[in-house]
Amino acid sequence: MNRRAILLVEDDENDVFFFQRALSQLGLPAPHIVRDGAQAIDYLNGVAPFDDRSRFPFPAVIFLDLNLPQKHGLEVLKSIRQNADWATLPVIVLTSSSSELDVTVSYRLGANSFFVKPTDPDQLTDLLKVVVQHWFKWSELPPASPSSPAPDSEGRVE
Amino acid sequence: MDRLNSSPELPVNGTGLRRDAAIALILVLVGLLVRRALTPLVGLNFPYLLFFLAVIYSAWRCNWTVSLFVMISGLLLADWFFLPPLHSFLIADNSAWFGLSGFILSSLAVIAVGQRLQRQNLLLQNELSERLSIERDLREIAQFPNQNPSPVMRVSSDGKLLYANPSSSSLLVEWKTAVGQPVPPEVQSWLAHVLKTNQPSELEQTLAGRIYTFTAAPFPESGYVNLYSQDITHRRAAEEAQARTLRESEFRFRMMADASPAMIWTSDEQQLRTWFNAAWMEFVGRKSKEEAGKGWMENIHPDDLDRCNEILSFAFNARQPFEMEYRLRHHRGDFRWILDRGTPFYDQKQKFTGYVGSCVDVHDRHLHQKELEFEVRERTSQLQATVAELESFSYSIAHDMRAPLRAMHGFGKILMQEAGPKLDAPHREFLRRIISAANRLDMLIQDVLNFSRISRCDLPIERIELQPFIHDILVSYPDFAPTRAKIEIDGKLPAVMANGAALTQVISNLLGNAVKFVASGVFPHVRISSKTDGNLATISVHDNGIGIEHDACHRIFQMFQRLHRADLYEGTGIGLAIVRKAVERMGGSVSVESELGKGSTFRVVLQLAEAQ
Repeated sequence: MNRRAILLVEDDENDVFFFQRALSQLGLPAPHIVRDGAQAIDYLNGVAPFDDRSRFPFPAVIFLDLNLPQKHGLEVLKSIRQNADWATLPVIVLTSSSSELDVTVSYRLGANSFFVKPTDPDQLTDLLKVVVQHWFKWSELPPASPSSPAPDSEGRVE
Repeated sequence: MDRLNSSPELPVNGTGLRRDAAIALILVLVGLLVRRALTPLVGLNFPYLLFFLAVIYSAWRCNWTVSLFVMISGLLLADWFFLPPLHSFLIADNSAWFGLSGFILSSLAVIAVGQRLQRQNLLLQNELSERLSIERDLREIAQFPNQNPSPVMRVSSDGKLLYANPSSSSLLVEWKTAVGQPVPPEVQSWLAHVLKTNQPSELEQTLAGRIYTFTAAPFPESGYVNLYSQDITHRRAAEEAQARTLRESEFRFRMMADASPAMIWTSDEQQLRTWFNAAWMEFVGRKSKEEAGKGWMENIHPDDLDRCNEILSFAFNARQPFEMEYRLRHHRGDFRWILDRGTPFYDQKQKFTGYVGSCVDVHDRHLHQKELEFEVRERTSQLQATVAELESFSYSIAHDMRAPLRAMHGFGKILMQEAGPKLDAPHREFLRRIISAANRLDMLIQDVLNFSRISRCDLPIERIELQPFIHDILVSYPDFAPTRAKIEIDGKLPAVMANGAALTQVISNLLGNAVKFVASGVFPHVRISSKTDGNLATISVHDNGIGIEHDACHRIFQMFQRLHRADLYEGTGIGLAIVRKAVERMGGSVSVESELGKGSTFRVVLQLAEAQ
């Protein structure tokens, strides 16, 4: 199941609730959740409190909100793509913003998909069904490499 | 003799020669007849005599061909008629041969002499006519000084007048002299000098109010000087008048220039300044000597000097007018902005003689302009800050305000799904209203965002083929599906100039309204048509809806204008405001024509991609 771990980077607890509910409706395991950008980088690096890979496995897919405290979602995306070991990790932007600028910049920084959060919880379930099927059922995922050399706190490897 | 031989051929006078040849032949015939008439008297003696006369005539008058012909015909006639045996060309005896030879030889001699005399005569005639013409020319030339309207004189080396032409008479009166008498002492000493130096020289004399110029041409080997004089009284007067006019006009120009508040200057064809008016001199407070040439440039602000030099030499090389602004040091010491305009100047002969320029002190204007520029920059940056704030505001609306709304809507819906059946009917209704209110607020926020995006984003205009464009919209919106509405396109729609995203908003909003605002129980029926006029296309959307009151037609395009209760027709009241904004941003216009209960027609006017 570790290979199927989903990491959700989301600060709004309501949205976290809707996300978890949608996954459970689809019969999928609960996602791993971090609440800001800095935590997301720590999680990926496997530093405390996320140093136990058996409890906090390296994710197969990241769902990333953009408007995050500590470190903006686009910064997180940039850090992920700049790290040689994480560069192939699928990142799906899931945000309230439909601003063209956010869409453009996200794709330019290497996002794999960009979704605007649906207002209706049932629509979110529909959306996640399609996305999870896409990544876990039909796609060949890149081989994960959680045993990477430890990058600095910014998520960069020199 | 050489001259005779060397003259190749006598000049042939055609008619004269032919006449003489005829006469010679007549003489031969006459000689024959006379000789025959004389036969009874002289018998057969002197057979050639009269023919010989004809030969002499022809030798004298005709050329040698004719002469030989006369001789031979005389010979044959004499032989035939007068030498025995008669009427035959046979020669009887030696004496006859002797006579015949005598005739031939003497005839040839006569012809030869005659020809030579003719040539000599001709040469003499030519020489004579040549001499006559030379004499005529000489006489004409001799008249030349006499015919000269100006005085021409010759003075000997000892100062005596040798010759004076008729035009010299009044001059001689003033000089109180005549031919053979000495010229005035001052003229004598000048001429002596001229002879000594052997160089032509000029002298001017005023005699009895008239001005004469004298040009002396010395001929020392002949011992005289030729004097050519001219009365230049009138010419001098005209020149002086012209010079006076010029001086006066220049004086007037300077007076005017000095009176002008503008700073005026002139420069020569070497790009050196030659003159400045009083205003300039007062401004710089220096001596004109210091300003002349390139001296004036010492007062140009060092930061402006290179630019000025560049403009000046560029204009100068092209002989073009120029205009430049620079800072010039005032005599108080401060620099003031000057606007300097120069124009190339040409004299009456269209020869470039330099530049004339004038300067205005534009310092205050310049400072004012700088202030204005500063103000504009200031305000622009303020505006940019405001726009940036607005953008972040609309971003936060999108992001932060929609999050709690989504929570309201989401939890309401979940509650409805999971606890709905357990609730009383009125409480279920409350819950439904909470969900629908959240839903409406979400739509409102999305429309406000759309409106602000349409208002401020760049909308690049491109060619859009309307037919497939509208077709794509029809198939992608569930509300426009054939099961929900009948939407027809009349005829062929043209291509227009528009922005794809904005035009999508326009068409989908108009069609959305058309299918939404129908009386209950009526199946929506929409017709889309187009009309072109010049370079404009009018796209009409006609519906069978409830129509709009005439008074309301003008305000439906404003923000948040709703004509109906939300429970009858839901909407945000922003859709048509978006339509109008989008169409106007694409350089078009939108209007509506409607009657209550009879449907509405919305018309959008856009630029045609290709003018019809």
